[in-house]
Amino acid sequence: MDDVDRRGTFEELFAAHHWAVRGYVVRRAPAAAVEDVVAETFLVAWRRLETLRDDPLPWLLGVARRVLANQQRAERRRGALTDRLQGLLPGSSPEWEPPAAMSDELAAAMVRLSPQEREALLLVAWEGLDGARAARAAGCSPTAFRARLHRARRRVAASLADPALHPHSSVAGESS
Amino acid sequence: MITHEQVIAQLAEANPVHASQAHTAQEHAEADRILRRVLSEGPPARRGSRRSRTGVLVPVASLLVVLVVAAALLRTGGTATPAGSHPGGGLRITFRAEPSPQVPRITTAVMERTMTIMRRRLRTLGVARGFAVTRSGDRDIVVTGPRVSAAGRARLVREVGQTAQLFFYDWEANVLTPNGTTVASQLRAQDRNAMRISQGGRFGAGTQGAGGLPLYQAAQLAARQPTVPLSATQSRKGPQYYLFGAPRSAACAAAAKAAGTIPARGQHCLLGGPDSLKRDLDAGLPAGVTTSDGELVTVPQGTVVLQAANPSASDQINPASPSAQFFVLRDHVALVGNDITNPRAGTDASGEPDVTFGFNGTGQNRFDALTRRIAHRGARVSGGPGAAFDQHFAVALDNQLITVPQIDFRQYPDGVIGGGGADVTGSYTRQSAADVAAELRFGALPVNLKLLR
Repeated sequence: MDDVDRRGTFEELFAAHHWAVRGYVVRRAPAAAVEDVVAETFLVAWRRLETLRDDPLPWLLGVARRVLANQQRAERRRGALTDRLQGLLPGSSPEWEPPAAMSDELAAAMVRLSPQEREALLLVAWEGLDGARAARAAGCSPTAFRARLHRARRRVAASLADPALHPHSSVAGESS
Repeated sequence: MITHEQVIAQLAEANPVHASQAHTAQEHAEADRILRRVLSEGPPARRGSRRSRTGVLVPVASLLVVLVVAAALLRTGGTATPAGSHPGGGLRITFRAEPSPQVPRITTAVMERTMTIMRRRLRTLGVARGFAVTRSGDRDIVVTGPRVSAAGRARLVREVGQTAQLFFYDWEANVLTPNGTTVASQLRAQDRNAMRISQGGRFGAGTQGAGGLPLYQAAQLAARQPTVPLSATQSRKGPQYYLFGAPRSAACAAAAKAAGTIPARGQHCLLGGPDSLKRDLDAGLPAGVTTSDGELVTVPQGTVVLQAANPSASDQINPASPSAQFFVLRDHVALVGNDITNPRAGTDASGEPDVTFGFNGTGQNRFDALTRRIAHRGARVSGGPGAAFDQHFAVALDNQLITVPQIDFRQYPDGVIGGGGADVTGSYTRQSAADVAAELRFGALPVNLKLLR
C-alpha cells in the first residue's frame, strides 16, 4: 500500500465506522473525554491499518474499550481522593456511570456486575452486535462471551426480581 | 421472573445514544478534527525490512507540491483583467440580460450571479486567461479578451451565453465506479471504490478526494459507455467532445504556455472541450495546436462527466488543473432547476447553517419519488448498527457538482415527503450555505442572455 492509497483506505475506514465508534465511547465516557478517546482509537487503527481484517468494527470497539480503560486508570491515579470517596459508596463503580435514562433498579443491577459481564450485556443491547462480533469486540472467544452474557443476564434478571436489592430500599436500610 | 430478552430490551431502552441520531455540526467538526489529528501523524514508522519504502515518500510529496503550485498558478491565471485592456482588435462580446418567467426583474444581485457563472464558464472552456466579464449599465454584460477567430467567438457566445440549468441526480444510482458499474450495484458487496464514492471523503460525497478521477480517466470511462436513445430525462442532447494531449507532448506544452502554467508531469492535458460541436473543438485550441495533435474522446449521449464540488467558493479548483477530479454519471436527471423555487441560505431550528428550497407541483412529486428511492436504498444496503450507509442526491450546474446531500434513511425511511420543501443541513458553514444557495438560485432562476454585438 503506498502512502496515498493508505490514506484513502484510512479515510474510508473512518467514514464507515467513525460514528459507531463515537457512539460506543459516548455511551461509556464523560463527554469531555470523547474526542480524545475516539482520536486515540483511530490513531491505533492508522498505525495498524495493514493488519485490519474484514468487518473491522468489532476490532475498533475493542481498541476503544482498551483506550477507555487506560484513560480511566490514569484518571483514577490522578484522583486518589475521589477514588476513596467512591469506595465509601456501596455499589458504585468507578468505571461505569449509568445513563440518566436508565431506571434506578436496572442501574443498581448493572453496577453490581463485573466490568466484563456489564460490557457483554451492553455490546448486545447498545451496540447491537451478535455473538461472534461481540466476542471480538470484548476480546474473548465466542464460547467465553456466551457464558459471560448468560451469567450477566441471569444476575440482572435476579436482582430486578428481588426488591431487597433495589437502591432505595437498601440505602434506607443502611442509614438506619 | 424477568426473561433474558426483557433484560436486553430494558437496557436497549436506556441507550443514551441511538445510532440513528442525527449528528450536529459540532460533532461533524469534532470528526474533522480527529481525522486531521490522526492523518497529521504521517505514515507510521516502518519496521526493519520495510524501511526502504520511505524512499517513495519523497517523490510523492514533491509531486503534490508541484500539483498544488500548478493549481495555484491556474487559479491566479483566472483573475479578470480590467476591461479595456485589449484596445482594438481584441474580443468584445456584449450580452443583455432579459427577464424570464422565473426572473421578471433584473436586479443588481441577478447581474452579479449571472457574471459569476459566466466567469466560471470561461474557466471551464480553458480560456479564462486574459478574459474579463464586466457590467455595463443596468442590464448589459461585456466579455472582453484577446483576439480570437470567428469560430472561436461563435463558440464563446454559445457556451458562455447559454441559459444555466440545474440538474438533480440520484447519486449512487447514476455515478459509475472506475470499472463502469453503478455505485449502487456494488454497495452490498462493499466494493472499495463504490464505498469511497458513496460515503465520501473528508468533505462528503461528490467533493475533491471522494473517489473522483482525473479528467482524462473520467472522459475515457465515459467514452466506454453506450449511447442511450434520447429521452426527456437527459440533460444533454448528443455527444460531448474532449481533446487531450499526451503527457510530455508539444501540444501540452503549448496549452500550458497559453494558460500561463507548467505542464503536469505524467498526465494527459486538456487541449479542448468539453464541446457539443466537433468544430468548436478546433476553435478553442491553443495557438499552434491542431486537432490532429491530440486524442479525441467522445462522451456519448446518456453519460455526463461532472467536476467534483469545490471545497468552497473561495477555493475553486480550475477544471483544467491537473488536481481537479471528476465523476462519471449516467445522465438520468430526476429534477431540473425549474422544479425548485426560492432557494435560500439560513439556519435550521437548532441554529445550524442550512439551505432551503421549495418546489412547484411536479417538482414536489419528483423530489418525493427521488428521496423515497434513495432512503429505501439506504435501508437496503446498510448492515447492522455502525454500518449505516446513507445515500445521496447530487445537484449539478454547468458540468459541476454543487452539493451532494445525504438522505438519513432512519430519520426519513420513506424519503423527504410532505410538501414542505427541502432543508439541506449539517454539512455547511454559513459561507458555504450561502454559496450553495447562490448557485441554486442561479440555476433555478435563469435569465435569458441576448447577444447584442
